[in-house]
This record gives sequence, C-alpha cells and structure tokens, in this order.
Amino acid sequence: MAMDTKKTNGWADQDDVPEIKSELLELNMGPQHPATHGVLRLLLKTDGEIVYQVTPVLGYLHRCAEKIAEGVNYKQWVVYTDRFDYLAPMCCNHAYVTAVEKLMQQEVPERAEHIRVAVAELSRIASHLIALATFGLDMGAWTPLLYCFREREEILNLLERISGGRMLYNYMVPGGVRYDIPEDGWVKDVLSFITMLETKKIKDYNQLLTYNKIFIERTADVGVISKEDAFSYACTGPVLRGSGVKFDCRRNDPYSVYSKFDFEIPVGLGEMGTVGDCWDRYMVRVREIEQSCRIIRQALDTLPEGPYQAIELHKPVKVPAGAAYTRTESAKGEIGHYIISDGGQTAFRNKVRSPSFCNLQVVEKVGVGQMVSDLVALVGSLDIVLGEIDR
Amino acid sequence: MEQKAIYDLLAGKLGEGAVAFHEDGIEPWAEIAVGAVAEACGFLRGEPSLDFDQLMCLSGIDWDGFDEAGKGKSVGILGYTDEGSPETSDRQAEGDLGVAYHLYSHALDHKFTLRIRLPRDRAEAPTVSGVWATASWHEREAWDLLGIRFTGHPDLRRMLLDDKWVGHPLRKDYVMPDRWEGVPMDGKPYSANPFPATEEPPAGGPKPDGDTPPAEA
Amino acid sequence: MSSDSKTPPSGYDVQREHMLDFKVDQQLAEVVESDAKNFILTTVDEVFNWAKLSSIWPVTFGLACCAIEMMATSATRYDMDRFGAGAFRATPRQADLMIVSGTVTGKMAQRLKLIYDQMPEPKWVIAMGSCAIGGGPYFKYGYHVVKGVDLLVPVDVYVPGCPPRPEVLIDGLMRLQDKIRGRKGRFITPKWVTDYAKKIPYRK
Ligand code: SF4
Repeated sequence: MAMDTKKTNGWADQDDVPEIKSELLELNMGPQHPATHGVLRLLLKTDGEIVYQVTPVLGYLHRCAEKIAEGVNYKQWVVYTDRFDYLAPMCCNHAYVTAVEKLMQQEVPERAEHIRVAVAELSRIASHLIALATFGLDMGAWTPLLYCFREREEILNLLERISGGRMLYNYMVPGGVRYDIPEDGWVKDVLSFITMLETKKIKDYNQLLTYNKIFIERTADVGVISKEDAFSYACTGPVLRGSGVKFDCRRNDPYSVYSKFDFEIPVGLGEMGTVGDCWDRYMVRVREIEQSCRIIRQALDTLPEGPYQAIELHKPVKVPAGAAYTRTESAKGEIGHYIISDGGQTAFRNKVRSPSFCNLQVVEKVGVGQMVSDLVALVGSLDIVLGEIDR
Repeated sequence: MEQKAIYDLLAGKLGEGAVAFHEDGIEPWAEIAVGAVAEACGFLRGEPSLDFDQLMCLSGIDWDGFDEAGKGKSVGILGYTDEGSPETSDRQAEGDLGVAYHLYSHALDHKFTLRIRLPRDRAEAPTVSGVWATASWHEREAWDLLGIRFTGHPDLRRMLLDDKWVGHPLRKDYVMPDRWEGVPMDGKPYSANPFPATEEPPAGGPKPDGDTPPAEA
Repeated sequence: MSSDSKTPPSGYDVQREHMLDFKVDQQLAEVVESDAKNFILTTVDEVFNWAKLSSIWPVTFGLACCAIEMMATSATRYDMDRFGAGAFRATPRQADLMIVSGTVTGKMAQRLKLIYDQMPEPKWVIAMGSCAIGGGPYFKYGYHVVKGVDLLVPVDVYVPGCPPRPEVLIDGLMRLQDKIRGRKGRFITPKWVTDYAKKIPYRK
C-alpha cells in the first residue's frame, strides 16, 4: 500500500534509498503511559517508526460533570469546574462564574473583578510552568521540571493564602469572590514574586530549555499545524496563536475587566523553523507568562477599594430563564459554557466546550506521517489536560 | 454583521428551511428545520460575506421535562441514593431532543447561533463534520451522551464511554447503572472478585475496545 | 593520611584530622584477633522488611487531579525520594506500590486491575484522595465513577483529602512503612497543630 509520508530530515531525504515498506504495526500508547499526560490512550498504526494513523481513545477520566450540573445548584457546581483543568483551576472558575453572571445580568464589584483577574493570571502562569516542565520531560530534560515546580509552589502558596486551598480553590462565586485579599501583605508578595519571575526565572528557563540545541532539534519543524487546520479543528489558545493567528478572547471578545489592561498577544513567528511547529507553541507559552505578569501588576496596582461580593454568600443563586454561550480564555484556550436555564437554581443543561478536547483532535491529522517520537513532541506541545477532555 | 442580517441572508437561501429567529433574551438564535442543517452550515461557511470559519461549540440537548414557563420546575434527574443504589421512576420521557451550533468568524468577527429540534423517536440530524472538522468529535460526543444519530458521519462511535455501554446518560430519564461489565458502579460493599478467574486478560495487553479501526485510505 | 612532611600546610586543621581518623586498621585487628567477635542479632524478616520499606518504588499511575499533587510530592519542595519512594517506574513489573491518585472510572477499572495483577509480590496500594477512597464528589450522579478503589483491589493505606496535601501523602507513606515494619500505624496530632488550629480566625 502506498505510504504517503512527509519526508523528514535524515535518511528519508536521500532519493537513492529504496522505500522499504513493512507490515503495519498496531501500537497501543496509554492509558497508563508517562508521555500522554494522564490517561489518554492513542491507538497507533505504524509503518516501522512512521505513524500511519492515530486514533485517540478518550473517556478514561469521564467523570460525568455535565450530568452533575443538572443535579446540583449553580454555586455547588463551581467545585466541579475546578476539576476540569486542575492545572489552572482559577481560570475555569472564572469562566463559569462569568457565564452564570452573563445569564443573570449581574453586576460584579470592580474590586472582585480585579482580584479575579489577578488570581486567574497567577493560575495561568502555574499552568504554563507545568506545560514547560512536562514538555521538557517528554523531550528528555528532567532538570527544568525541578525549576518549574519550585516556582509553581510559590504560586500555590500565594493562592493558598487568599483562598484557603492549595491546588483546587472553589474561590469564585457568582457575584464576586469568596474572600477578600488577606491583610498580611499579599499584594506586596505577589508583586515581588512576579518581578522575580520576570527578571530572573524566565531567563533561567530560556537558558535551560528554550535555546538548548537538543531541544530545538527535537521540536523545530515538528508537528506543524497550519492556520487552516487550526481554524477547521477549532484550535484555540496557545495552539492557535502558535500557528500565527493573533486571537485571544481576553482581547477580541473581552470579558471581566481585561479591556482595561494593556498587554500583548504573542504569536508564533517561526523563529527556529516553520510557523506553527512545536517550538513556536512552546515559545508562545513562555511569552505569555511575561504578559500575565504585566496584567497582574496592572490589576493589583489599580486595585479599587469597595465590596468584593454582590450577592451574599449564603443566599442561593437564581438564574432567569434563557440560554447563552459564554467563552473565556483559560490557560489552554477558549473555554465555553453553554448554559440553558429554566429559571430555577439548577441549570437545565450545561455543555462545556473545553479547549483541550478541540485541540487534541488535530493529532488525527497532523500526527500522520511523523515519527513516533515526534508524536510525543506533538502531544506534549498541545498541553492537554485530561480532566477537561473527558469531563 | 448583525445576527438579524445574517438570518435574513440565510432565510433567503433556505426558504422553507428557516423556521424562526428569536431575538428576545441574551443570545439571539435562529431555529431551522432539521433537513436544512447541512445546507445552512455549508452556506454560512462558504458565503464570503459571512465566512464562519470556526464552529465554537456543538451541544446536544434533551428537552424532556423542560419548564417552558421559566419557573424552575423542570423534572429532576435520577442519581444514586445515599446507600448507593440507583434511583428509579416510572415517568415516561417526552419532549424533543435538540442540537445547538455556535459559530464564529475569525475574519469578520461575528457570531451566530443555530438550533434544531429533533423528535424523540427519530433523533437524527445530518452531520456537519464535512464543513468543520471539529464537528466530528462533538457529534460523536452528542451521540454518546444523548443518543442523537448524525447521518453521514464517517465514524460514529461512542466518544467517552465504552462501546459496550448501555444507554445515553445525559437523557433526563437515564437510570444509573449498578454493575457494568463486572465493575461495581454502585457504592455497595463488594466482596467477590469483580473479574472472575475465567475471564483471562487478553494476551498482549488490553485489546482495542472492540472498536474497528477506520478503513485504510 | 600521608605524613611525609612534618609541618602541615597553613590552614590545615590538625584537630580535624584526628576526628577523621577512624583507626580502621586497629579496629579490624581487634575484631579479628580478640575473642569478642562483633555481631548484630536480628532476624531475616527484619532485615528484609527494612530493605523493603526503604525502597518502595511506586508505579507511575496518575489518574486525575490528585496525580498533580503526587507529582508535586516527588518534585522539588517535598522530595519523596527522602523516604526511598521517589523512583517512579513506568512499568508495573518493577514497582512495589501503586498510588491510586484520582478518580477510577468504569473504563479505567479493568486497566487498573490489570496493572495491579502485573505487579510482583509483595505489593501495596495507597488510595489517595476522596475519589479513590469512595467516589468523592462524584458519588451522587457519577454514573461512570467507581465508588472506591477498594471495590477492585485491596488497599493498605487511605490518604484523605481532595486533593491531599503532599505532607499528607508523605504521612501516608510513612504509615505504610510502619505497616511493612510490622508495627501499628499511629497518628498523634502534635500539640502545636491543635494550638495553631484554635488560632485560625473564622472567616465569613
Ligand atoms: S479526590 Fe479531589 S483532587 Fe483527587 S482526583 Fe478526586 S476530585 Fe480530584
């Protein structure tokens, strides 16, 4: 059978090498596999080392969250949004409460919005740090993991001081946030942390990983996602921006108070290879960390005084009948909630459009014709989180 | 472009297929006939003045027991009791199923919402996975969780649950399982081995879940 | 230590040299020549248990959110390697411990059982997080969630929390070591913890 493999570098470039075809081999990657970031299972058909077909098999972490949304009330379901993207729970909280408030047409105090933006951006940094760490791990670099986890622990400490939880927070409620900023110099600590991150730590990562020759060799020109594919497969977040599209919900479809802040949208430029390769997606994340630092600084510098909850905490939330789709930008991409309300305290239907779910689908197309080891790079650079894919 | 203007363009193209446009509420939406979905989506994607290049979301909906009056009196779903046994009820499911499409255009920066209603006994809609590739997985998920069959879909298998799963869990009348393939799903204390010794694990690791790989191109 | 030159170089600590001189040769001669032979009394069991508990290698088996805390436990700040349990093995055949970190779903249950069966004896299981203990937040409507991993495999230590903090996981590991050693696990809340807990202000 005809193998239509993309010619990669190495021996395949030479024309005089006869094309050797072997029997197609079925390979099972996962669900318990260190390079699939959780319980993802990839069903591969390979011809030697070249991938002929990729079929992701999902559902090993299907936790019925959408069914639960029809059984518990709006406030209780905030807990489950934490557990979608457990690497950036604050972003998921923010997405959900924004969706509920849009349906309620609820005004949120300015102070609460500033706090929300600050903690969501901190969470985004934490998530991107893990993305860098695990991507490095997939490429065979162990040390960046230790560095990235060190900084992530700092962020978790800061978020623990404001919310009481170390990893999953349940911090935002429709109409505001659960607690005010603690009065023990939290703002000062956050500012000094992001200054340290901006000035010192990102340089460390760049030295360790970004401009490392081996790393560039493994990631540049690998797994190129074109702009058309990215649109067709509805890729969002760093994956879309890595393909050179300047799109960010925070800027193009502003929610919360993001329109007040000044920040840039980094896109993939193809510095090391082609636009949209794994290195570009990685680099977009590194640059986004810097931009998140900028947003946090602006949000906390202009922190207004005033209330931080519009609805009292013990009061139930009632949402008028209606339906709306709200999208926000989480660390992985566009997270959308389509909530249908019947006017009660429980959603009638809550469909979650999760960014990882849509981003992952692109491997079915882009993974074909790659080496198996490059497939690991591709999946690593998509930065998926299974809690969000399977819900 | 305004959503109303988009709808007018679409209605001009579809004729009978466009049923109504609902402007009240937070998010305006267009209701179209089931048969016209594929044509409508192809038109919205292809027409240069509309150019919807992204399908943001495709959601299946079960309208069973929905409180149209907006008083929050919809039928509740069934769960497990505190002891862990599944709750049951004798209510008959009624009402339609539905699908909602949320579209966005990167080039022109506008959105549009389409909705269709499907009769419960014949929940079938034409696929749009040829228009937007991302629809493929969303449709598989809707088939898996709600039992909406998308005709013409190249590979309509279950997405999240196993192929041997029975029922479609996001239906409002779904009764929770107590055992599935020997795995205890209820919270009952369980003493026997859920995997009897006769059930040998397949040689060479777990088999693909009975799913047939797609035919080779 | 060679003693060719009589005067030590400047800055050389003579005191320290005495401290570091263990007089091994003398000791060896004593042991070999004297009647008082040096020996330790123990049982084979105790030696084996000591060896087992000092190198519990877990299998890499992250399931859900709790897996991130498990990763954090083995990473920089908490460093599970201090307890001999930091060498995560990607294959169950080289592992002694399965940390079930997260929600066990119906689809995963059969795989989990398979992986458990592939592990060589002796083997232990830690159920980490409320999901693995009893379904956690997914009990009521979780049609695809197994309500506790102990319905599938025997569990040695339960570590509660959602997710448990790394300290708690380390404590669970130490309880497991106690168990292997043949002692009863015990947990006495230190006084400073109870004192501190009293001081935490109630936040509205
Ligand atoms: S116990 Fe909590 S943190 Fe752990 S897997 Fe379950 S939901 Fe996630």
